[in-house]
Amino acid sequence: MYLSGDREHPSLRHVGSHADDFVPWLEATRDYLDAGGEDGELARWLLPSLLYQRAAFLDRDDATDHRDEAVALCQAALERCPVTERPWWRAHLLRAELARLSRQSGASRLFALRELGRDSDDDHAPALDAWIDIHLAWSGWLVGVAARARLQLAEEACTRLALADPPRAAHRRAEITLRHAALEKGDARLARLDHALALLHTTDRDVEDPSTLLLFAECAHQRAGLLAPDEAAEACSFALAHAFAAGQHPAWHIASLEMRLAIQSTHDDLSGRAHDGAIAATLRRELADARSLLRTGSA
Amino acid sequence: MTRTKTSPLLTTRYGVAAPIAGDTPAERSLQLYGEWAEHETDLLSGVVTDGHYVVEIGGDHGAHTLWLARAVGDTGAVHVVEPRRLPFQQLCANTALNQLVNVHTHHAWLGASDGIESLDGEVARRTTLDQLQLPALHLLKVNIPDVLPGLLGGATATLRDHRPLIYARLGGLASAEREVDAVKACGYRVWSHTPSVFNPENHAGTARNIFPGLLSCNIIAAHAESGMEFEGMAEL
Repeated sequence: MYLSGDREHPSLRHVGSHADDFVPWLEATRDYLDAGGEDGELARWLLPSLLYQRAAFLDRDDATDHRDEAVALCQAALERCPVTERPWWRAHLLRAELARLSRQSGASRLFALRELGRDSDDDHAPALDAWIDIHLAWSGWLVGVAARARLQLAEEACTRLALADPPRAAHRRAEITLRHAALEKGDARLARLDHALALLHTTDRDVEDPSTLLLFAECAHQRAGLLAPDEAAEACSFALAHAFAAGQHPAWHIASLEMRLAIQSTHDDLSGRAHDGAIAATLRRELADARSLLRTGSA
Repeated sequence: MTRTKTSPLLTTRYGVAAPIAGDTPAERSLQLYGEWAEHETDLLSGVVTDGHYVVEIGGDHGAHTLWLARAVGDTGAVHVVEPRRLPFQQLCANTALNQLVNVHTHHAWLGASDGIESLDGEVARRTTLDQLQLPALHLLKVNIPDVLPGLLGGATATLRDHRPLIYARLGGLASAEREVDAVKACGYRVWSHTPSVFNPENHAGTARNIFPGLLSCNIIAAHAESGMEFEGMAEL
């Protein structure tokens, strides 16, 4: 379990695949829920994320209880928090709602998404950032024209986010462009990927942020699949370097190895490239070792 | 006149339904699970949105009509064509019970030409999709198996003008090839959609599976020039 982002409103990143990973964190945060000072504030902030992230590993009824509690906690906090905290809790509530509706059937989810309202209801950067998460998730549940239309809404939210936080907006726009690229083919797809890379180069502030580095790697890797062998090899090298750099942070170590293995496989499959598969084999071993350190079941 | 004992309304996933006495798969599913063929609406939730016009062939007691009516919203419309008398009445009852003002019910059979269709000892008026003269059509959902060739034969102008997505349940071994060929002949690409009939996350939370191992054999089709593709599904 790792914390990242804003010091007072950190994001929680869980690396693993077991509900028990959350138990000590849940116990600790519940112990401090009524505490004053930074400890209490941090516990109250983290508990909703712990609940809805853990829900992904629980059976239906327990998962529902966890998600409902996360939403209720955010709603309660939003009602009583100071005005300066409201945008953060609004964003937290939107993400908790998104986590809750994500498990619904597609047909029910459509109505739940509509009930969230519109991003035009929010003006502050944290909430707009959460709305971009919603639009991206929603577009992933749509097909064709409807998916593109939803990505367009995400872009419009980015435009508003850029007024408050231009580097963050550029990062998010790169994510959206990458999703647009997945809906295109051939030259149109390549153009989208080029645009996504250009956007990432403008996010100087986040140049060492692992998620940005992996986004660089993802863009370059996808470009490699559309280029001639020599250019593709160059794109793979660029992607590998960024994926490697992302893995220097322990929270992103496994994601980095997974990405490096995928890129290496693409590189090894390029025509005219002699290779013995040794690098890919080493990466597979490293990935297996890293995964073996994760909890695999209840004690 | 006979009258069966009055039963309470059924609470289904997308609204209430008049009591159902029959034992077709749809009827058993609605009674036990409060839903029917939910995986179909799962897929369609990715393509249906506000303002869309939908035609549904076969009422299925309004099981999907209730969802479609909400999905297309006040600016859209759902036309449901049900040729059988009693299912038609049930459909109308459920439409009224749920106050679905954007649903239009039609007691008719849609085929290649006008006329009379004989169904289970009753007759139904036969008309064509083109004669509905819809201002738009985004989705043609066919719940009755083995009707596609005739239906599409009377839909030339509608398909040409609106190029709706087509979602249909195939008739089975004897007719599947003919049905798929009929859709392809209209300039469509066709993908297979074979969800399990049982939904473990059904509305009633019922664990018992009365459709063990059973899959629906359905298709979803998009006009070749629409650019729409269904990744992860087998193209036929």
